[in-house]
Amino acid sequence: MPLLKVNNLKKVYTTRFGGNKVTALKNISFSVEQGEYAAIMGESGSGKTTLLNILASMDRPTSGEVFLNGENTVSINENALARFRREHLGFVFQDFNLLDTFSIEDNIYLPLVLAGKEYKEMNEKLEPVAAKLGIDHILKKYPYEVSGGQKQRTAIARAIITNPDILLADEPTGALDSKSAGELLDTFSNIHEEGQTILMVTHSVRAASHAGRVLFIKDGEIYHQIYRGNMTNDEMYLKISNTLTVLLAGGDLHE
Amino acid sequence: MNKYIYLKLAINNIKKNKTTFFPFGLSCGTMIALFYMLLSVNEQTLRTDFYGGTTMSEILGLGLWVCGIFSVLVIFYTNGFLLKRRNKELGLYSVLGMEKRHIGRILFWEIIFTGGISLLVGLLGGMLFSRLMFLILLNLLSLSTSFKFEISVSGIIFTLLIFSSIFLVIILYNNFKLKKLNPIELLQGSSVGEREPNTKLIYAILGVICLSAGYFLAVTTDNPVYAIPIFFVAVLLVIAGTYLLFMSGSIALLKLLKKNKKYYYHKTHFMYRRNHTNFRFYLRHCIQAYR
Repeated sequence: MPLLKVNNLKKVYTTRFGGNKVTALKNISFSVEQGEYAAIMGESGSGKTTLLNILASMDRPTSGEVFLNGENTVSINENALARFRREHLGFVFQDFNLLDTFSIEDNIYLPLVLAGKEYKEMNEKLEPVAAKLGIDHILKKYPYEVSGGQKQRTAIARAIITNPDILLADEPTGALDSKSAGELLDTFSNIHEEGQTILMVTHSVRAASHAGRVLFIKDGEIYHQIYRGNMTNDEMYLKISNTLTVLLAGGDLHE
Repeated sequence: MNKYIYLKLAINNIKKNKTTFFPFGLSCGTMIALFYMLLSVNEQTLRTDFYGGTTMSEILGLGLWVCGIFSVLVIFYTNGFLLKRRNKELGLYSVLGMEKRHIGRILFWEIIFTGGISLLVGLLGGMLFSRLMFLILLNLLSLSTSFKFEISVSGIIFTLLIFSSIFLVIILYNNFKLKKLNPIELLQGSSVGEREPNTKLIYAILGVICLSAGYFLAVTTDNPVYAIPIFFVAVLLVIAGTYLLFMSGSIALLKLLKKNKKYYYHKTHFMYRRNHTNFRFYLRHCIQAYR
């Protein structure tokens, strides 16, 4: 059984007045296996963030189902959703979403504090995670005192300290310079090798080339997907950019 | 789950968001002090029993009403401001797995704490200054009395009652606001920005009518002593009128300035006009000056 399974997802936005309908997603079906590193690629406005929001149970689809570990997240009621997110999902955002009033350490502790864990347990969890992400020397600093790359690694630490079933990342390299972005992608690869399932949404070819599988989304539909197989990152990069060229040229690409 | 976690989080939040909580506490404290002073001076006036004392206390009683209404406005405004600045933080709590009722509980404790502290400080300040106020009053009336420091117990109780209920309403209002939001909106809440409001002509007309009626009443009454109820109505009218006129007038003025491209794109002017909501801040000064 796949870890994450999406069936016929559809999302239609209706503007508040006028009743103008915009279809953001249609016929989205795919699945992600345990331990997989998948990327979803698409232009701005292709519906990828909408998709991620639905997967993150922060938005509800117009129709369709999302199964995580066999549980249909679409039918969970609002009050249970927060708990569901806490226990099963980890998030990394483009703009980090760290709290400036909290130190790096406190930011990482936040999900555990919200879950009501004891300090001793939290502290035991923090050390290996911080060491792995190379942020153990800045734990006492504040987000405005560290670099963008360090902020994003703090955000990753906050996401994985709860051992989530799946790590959802929305354009995680979007706000970083190319050097920090490269380091961050290596970090993602490392935690993936340790068994973390990752689903990343991005429009950066470089970010997607680290993934094991890339799904292409265009005008709200899954258009194509490629598997890494035995390709290196560079070969993957080439394959993705070739695919994108064909997609952007408007050609029909169905294997 | 740890029972005190929300309490701890609330205290932590207040400590870490000092810069946002301080103005809230300060405005609450000031309003509480003012309210208590009016009550206390009123009581001392009645007790001292000098000529015109009852009329004096009647005026103070009306002042109390105005002060009460004003407190509600001020506290609601600063609370709204506070809540808006913290949208991202609350959204993050929700995304990281905190249920809305739990966020509500944190907000509850935060208000209890800031409210409690501002009540304490406000009452202490009020006690200190109420005697001074009374002495100034007597001095104005060229009366003399023995100096005795008094604490009005009924005044304290009444102030506590009034402001506790205001804080209670604030808590309910915050929870209601929280219910309506979803996590994405909360996260993006601080970046949504304020839509430029439309000019509402009806507000402007109403404002002018209220304001002129208020001032007309205030100016045309011959004997202020017999016209206290009229005076009270006049004050209320002026408050409402100023509010309405500022609300519509500021928008209309800014729109007009915007039409003048040369003025609008001037470097300093461009920065000034962004702060639409600040009109309520100016309003406060206007009404306070009137009082």
